[in-house]
Amino acid sequence: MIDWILFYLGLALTLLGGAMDLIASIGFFRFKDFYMRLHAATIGAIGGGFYPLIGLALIALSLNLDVYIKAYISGVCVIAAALIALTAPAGSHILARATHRSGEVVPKVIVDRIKEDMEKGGNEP
Amino acid sequence: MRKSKTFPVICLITTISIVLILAVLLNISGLTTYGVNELTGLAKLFVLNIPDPTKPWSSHAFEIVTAILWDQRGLDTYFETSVLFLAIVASVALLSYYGRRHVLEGTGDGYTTMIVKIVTKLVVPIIAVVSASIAIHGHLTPGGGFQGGSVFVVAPVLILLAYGSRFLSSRGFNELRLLAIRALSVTLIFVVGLVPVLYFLMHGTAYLFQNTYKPDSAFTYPYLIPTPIGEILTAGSIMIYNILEFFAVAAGFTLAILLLTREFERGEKK
Repeated sequence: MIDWILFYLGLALTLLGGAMDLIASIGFFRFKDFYMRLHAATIGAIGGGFYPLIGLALIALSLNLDVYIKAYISGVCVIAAALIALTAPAGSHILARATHRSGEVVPKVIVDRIKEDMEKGGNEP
Repeated sequence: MRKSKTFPVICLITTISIVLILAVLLNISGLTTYGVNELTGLAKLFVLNIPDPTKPWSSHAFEIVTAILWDQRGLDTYFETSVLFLAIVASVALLSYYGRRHVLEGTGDGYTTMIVKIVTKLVVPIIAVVSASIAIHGHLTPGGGFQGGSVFVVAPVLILLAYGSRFLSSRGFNELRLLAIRALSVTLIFVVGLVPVLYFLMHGTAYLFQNTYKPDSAFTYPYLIPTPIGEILTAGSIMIYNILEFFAVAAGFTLAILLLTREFERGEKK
């Protein structure tokens, strides 16, 4: 029973990851702005990288294999997912920040707090 | 705009035709089929001899690629490492301002945020451990000294980007020390390869860069080390070469990237 639940939960997460990847790739080509495209790319990294790896870990746990092999595969998947969850947001964050600070792409927004702070000469975090 | 409508179509047609031509070519050449049931002569020689400890030409290592690199063609790999060493030395000669004592210049700090610094702090130890395991398990799993060293270099790159070159320089990663590690490792690799020659001069037959015993030579590095827990397979000199190469590559690339980053920060200041 628990194997069945784990297997279908993992399958659902993997399919969700595939859908997220598709959405991210469409958004990457259709969005107009750099920042919006970065948003789509992050969907691809987290939704298309993190969720399928967790799903694979669950599927590996549900299979009828030795405990050693199951623990190995799902452990590798979980570590890779944790690394993606740590590094992808930090990377896109610093990419957006560097682009904004260098003035390479001016964001089309109504309120730009970072710009206000920079004009005031305040200390950025 | 006319260009924006035709350009994607041209790209699409080009891509599809390249894919189709490649598929047809691969199918005609027979590379796509798995109908090959027998290994070719050279592959059979390597696959059957290297991992099998009962064979006289065995390397006592399960990773055949690493065994070929350091045992079957060890001298060749040594010269590859030397070429890389010369490239590093040349880049140091171009970029180094050691005589002018600008070592602690440039911080690069203030361009990054707390988020990047904390993530770097978390990820750097993981990278170091993974790279060391790739190098030390080089004779058992895919990998080796060069691969482990290249993975290790990601950690200094992250630190340089997040904290600036001053952070590394003030913690002992200065250019002379890195160059010394690099030179020492390359020298030790050659010394390890030269030990069989000393044996040859004193006792009997042995070959340059020899690993384990051969049918006409009794010289061997210890490849199975007995411990209270069990025997540890070190594959003779392959593990030593991997560890030394790990230090050599890690120190060399770190040095090159440190110098480049310092130059970049200096340009930023002007």
